[in-house]
Amino acid sequence: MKSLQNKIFLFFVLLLLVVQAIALSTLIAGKNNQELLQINNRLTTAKTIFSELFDSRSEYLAAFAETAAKDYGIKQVFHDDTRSLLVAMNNHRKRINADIAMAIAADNTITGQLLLTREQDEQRKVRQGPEKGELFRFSDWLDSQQQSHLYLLGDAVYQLSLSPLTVGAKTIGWLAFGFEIDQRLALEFMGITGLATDFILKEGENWRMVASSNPEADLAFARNIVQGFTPDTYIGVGHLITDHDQQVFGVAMYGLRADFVEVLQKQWLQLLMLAVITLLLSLAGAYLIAGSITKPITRLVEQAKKVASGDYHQTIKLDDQNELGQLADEFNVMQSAVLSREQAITHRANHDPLTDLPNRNMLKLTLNHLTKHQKKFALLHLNISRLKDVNDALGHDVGDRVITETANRLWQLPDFQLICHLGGDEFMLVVELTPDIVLDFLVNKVQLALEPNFDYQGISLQLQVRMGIALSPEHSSETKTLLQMADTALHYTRKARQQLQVYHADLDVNSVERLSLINDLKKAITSGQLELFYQPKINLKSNEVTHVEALVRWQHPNLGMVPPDNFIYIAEQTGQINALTQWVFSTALAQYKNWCALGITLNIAVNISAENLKDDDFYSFVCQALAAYQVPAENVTLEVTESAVVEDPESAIALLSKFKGQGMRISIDDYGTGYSSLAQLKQLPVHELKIDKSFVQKLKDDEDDQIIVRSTIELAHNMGLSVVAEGIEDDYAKCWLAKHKCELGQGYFISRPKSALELTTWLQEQKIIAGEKEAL
Amino acid sequence: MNVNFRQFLLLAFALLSLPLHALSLKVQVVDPADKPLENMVVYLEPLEGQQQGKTTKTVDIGQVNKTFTPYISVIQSGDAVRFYNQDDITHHIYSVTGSHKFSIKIRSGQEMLKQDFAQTGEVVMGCNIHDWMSGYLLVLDTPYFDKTNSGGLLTLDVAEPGQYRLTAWHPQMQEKDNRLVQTFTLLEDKSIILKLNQAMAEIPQQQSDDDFYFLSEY
Repeated sequence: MKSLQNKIFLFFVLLLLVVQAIALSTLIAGKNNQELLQINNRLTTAKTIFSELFDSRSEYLAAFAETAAKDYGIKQVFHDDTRSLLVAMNNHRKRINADIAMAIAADNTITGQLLLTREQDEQRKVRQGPEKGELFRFSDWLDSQQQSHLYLLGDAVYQLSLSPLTVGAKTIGWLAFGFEIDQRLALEFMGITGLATDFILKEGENWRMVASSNPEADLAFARNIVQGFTPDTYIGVGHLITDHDQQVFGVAMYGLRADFVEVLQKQWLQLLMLAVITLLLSLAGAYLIAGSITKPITRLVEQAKKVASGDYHQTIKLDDQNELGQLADEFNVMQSAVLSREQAITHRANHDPLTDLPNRNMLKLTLNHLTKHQKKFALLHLNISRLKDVNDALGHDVGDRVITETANRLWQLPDFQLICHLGGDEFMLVVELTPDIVLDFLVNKVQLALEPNFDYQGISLQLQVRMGIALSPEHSSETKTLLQMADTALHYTRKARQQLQVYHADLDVNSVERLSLINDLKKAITSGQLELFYQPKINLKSNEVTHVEALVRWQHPNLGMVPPDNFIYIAEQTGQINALTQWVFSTALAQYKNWCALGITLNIAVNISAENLKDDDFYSFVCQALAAYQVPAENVTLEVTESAVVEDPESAIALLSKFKGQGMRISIDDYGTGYSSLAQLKQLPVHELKIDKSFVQKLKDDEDDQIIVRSTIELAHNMGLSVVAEGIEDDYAKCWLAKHKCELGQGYFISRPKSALELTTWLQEQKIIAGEKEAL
Repeated sequence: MNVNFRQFLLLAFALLSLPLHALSLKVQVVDPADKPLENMVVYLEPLEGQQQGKTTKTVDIGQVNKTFTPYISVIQSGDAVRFYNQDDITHHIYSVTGSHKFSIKIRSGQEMLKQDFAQTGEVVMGCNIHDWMSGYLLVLDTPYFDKTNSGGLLTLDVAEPGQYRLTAWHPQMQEKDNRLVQTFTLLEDKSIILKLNQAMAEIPQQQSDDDFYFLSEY
């Protein structure tokens, strides 16, 4: 996980590692340097000590020989008998414990030689040397200024110093004293330096081991050291002393490197341990620091997640006064801001902006809640009556005031679970039905609350509502259905012009079917479920059938006969009206041809929808169909409703004019139900008016209708139009219309719409009756 | 000066005592570069038993400024030597080699007469107190000896002709036994130049390396 804590920690780790690496590498370099330095130091020191020791021995010997040579006692006995000389020499020798003492006469003869020998029992004894009476081998030493020499005698090597014995300026002989270079010296030296010491000597071409502090000393090894070739496991230094005699004297000082660096290694290990401990402590510290930095951030992240998930109720509190603390405070501020904003948004989403009452969302929630808990409740769907009139007459502001006033009054009702405003003039009240609640009483309460008139700017307005009620679970326990049912009930009130309707199943048969009809209609046109029925129109003057109106019927496979009012609307809304009208047209023309073949000639009227008038291809289709079936245009009537023309008068008039030009008859259907003005009517290229059946059906009893129909007929005749009356259901109406010179009549009294076959038979019967009448 | 004057007197006496036909031997000692060498002891020894006199005299060896003065003295065996300490400090004159081994302490201003130099030979003298003091006494068995002058010259008046051995000696002479020897027959006056084969070694200065300032502080 690439968390900040890990990053910081990683950064610290890297930093620490780098620092430690640098420190360690410095230490290692330092350690190596130090080791080297110390080794060099030690070796140099050893070498210096050896030189100093060796030289001081020489100087000591030289000084002593000089002193002894100045001694008058020695001078006095120098040429006396040997015994006296030897005793005198030994006295001097003893003072410095010299290993050799010699007297050399002016003629280079050794007149006395004393050696300190080591006997078998490790006792030391002074004996006369073997060279007494012999010539001193190194006569050139006698005149030399060099006082110190290496003197070889037998296997032994001596550091020897000579001093002349003088009488005034005259040299009468020499005295020599020397120390042996032996194991004692090597051991003494090792005691000082801690290094094993070998003394080797080159005589002629051969080296030999003179003495060593090391019982297992090796000549070749010592020679290598002296020549500077020290094996890696050792430290060592050599020193060569070349006398101006032929001898070369070498000193090898050495020790095991491991022994020497052991202490250093120990210190180094301690240092390393310390570094590791420091590193671990630092890492732990870094981890804690990283944790302490990121802990508040982690808490902020958690808080952010909580806020994101919608939990606004926990605030975060950091003890830090730093930026993170401030961030936490800002976080809380932001959180409360988000909370209030979200509350506002939620409120907005769930409430109507105008009335601030809960809206459809809240309604759904409440209903879901109630249905989920299987509560009994009632749904009251309210609709403010005539709000459209208020809006139109007084403006939308007043309309809104009416809505808000209604909302206010509803809101004050105490018994409802929910009073919501669905928008516009619609409200929905929800009440849970407990045994002590009487629905009628509640409804009454609502009506009472809205009963007082509402005064607005001096206008007294009536807040009248219509109400559709649905009950759960009595009607349905499904929210959606329930809402639909309340809606249906409300709709019914409008139709039935009543204030209140409780839902019952009969109310919404149509609407239930509609959905399936939409789908089925398409199939119906192609699969022959549709059928044309024909309702005859009679010439009221001659009582002859001269016209028929083609009416489409849908024989639905499941629902049986579907009335046209139910599906024509659907066809119009779903864009299928063109296909439907074309089918009707073609079928009607085909039937015309059939009747022609039987010697029956009828004018066929076809209903044209407003949608057909908008279709550009409709005109050419009609023309082609007429041509195809060879039907004379004057035998076809197009019935157009008033409202269809009113929607778009200009294009409707233009199209209708073209049909008229073709010779077809144009009839205004349902005349009197629309609101078309006479001015419009005047412009329409029509031949006849078809008075709506609502005026004709009650003609017998309603004088108003009589006035309307009579004046309409007169008006039409005055404008040169013929008149058709539909809805003739009794003889009175038929006679009344004939009397008032209405040209054509249509209605159940004359004939119901009949199938083509029925109608043919019926027409033939009518002819026979007519023929019989004539015959009578 | 005193010594020279005495020698001069002795010489004058000798000359007066000699017959008129006495022979004169002129000797010059030069180094290999022909440079005349002063204070070389030259002596003549008769090889055929010629007559030679016996001198009786006392030779002074003074200790002056902590030096043997003169550095080299020559006597005929039997002559007396007077050691005369002219310094303000005690000297301890000694000889440890040869046949004349002695040791004499002479206090400041005192003198010591020593008459037992019977054996011929070199007497090497030192002072046990002042190591640098160095003196030589050559004991001879002939009256014919002298030291060369600044011109490296000396003249020996020889009484009788015959074969002689002429020897030049000096402690620093780098010849065998520190001497150069020449044998010849003397019949008439003769001049001989003795030329050294080697250059002379440095003659000791009889001086201390140190200055005894502390002594003057008393």
